[in-house]
Amino acid sequence: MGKNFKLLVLCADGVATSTIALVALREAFEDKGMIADFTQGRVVDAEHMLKGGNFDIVISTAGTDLDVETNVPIFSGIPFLTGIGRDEVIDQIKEIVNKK
Amino acid sequence: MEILKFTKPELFFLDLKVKDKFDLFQRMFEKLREGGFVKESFITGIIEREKNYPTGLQLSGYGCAIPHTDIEHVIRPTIAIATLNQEIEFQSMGDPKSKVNVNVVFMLALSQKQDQLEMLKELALMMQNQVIMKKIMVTKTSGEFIEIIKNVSI
Repeated sequence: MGKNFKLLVLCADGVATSTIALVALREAFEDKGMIADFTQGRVVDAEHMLKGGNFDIVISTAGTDLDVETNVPIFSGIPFLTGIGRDEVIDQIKEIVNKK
Repeated sequence: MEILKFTKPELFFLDLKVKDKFDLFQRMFEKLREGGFVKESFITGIIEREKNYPTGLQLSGYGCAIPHTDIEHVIRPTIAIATLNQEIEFQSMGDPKSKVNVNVVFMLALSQKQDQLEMLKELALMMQNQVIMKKIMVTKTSGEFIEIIKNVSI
């Protein structure tokens, strides 16, 4: 472990709910000794950010249908707000990280 | 809980009967406007934001919504809370194409981005607490409501 991994966390305004998701993910990563590089943004900037960002995963709390052509997997960040399916999302993300 | 710093007894709408979310927004906005908490533009801000970025959240056994808008529409920060007599439809935050039946609404009228973040964090935790939410949904007075929230340690 310890590979550098880039995550893009998006929400409507790029400030509020994305921070909640980001903090939860960072804590989950740290617990496993995983290192990740987090970037935060607004969903309207998704296309622009994905173009130059070289991200491994996108997490969005404002819908996962981002209308962007990309191969980067996009996850919903809602489980970090509701608690429902939270562990499953973290596991799926970890799996992608481990494959890298 | 910090949320109590922002709530006002006159801004609790308990067991409220509304026909849809627009009716709800109007009712809550009128009280907010009357109390000098928000500007006239607040209602348009709320409706636009909800249309572009809906705020319905499906929890286990109930739905919540957290309508909010830009801080520039707010004069005095507060949080208005409504429990609904009959659930109403919101679009889902996680999937704007799908619907959520909402029982409890937290309308944020905050004037600092940091407060918005802190309150969303706290509300997210509160919403996940089924025991508290179920109590809140049947509460009839704002006094009882405040007592329930006061005893939450998050």
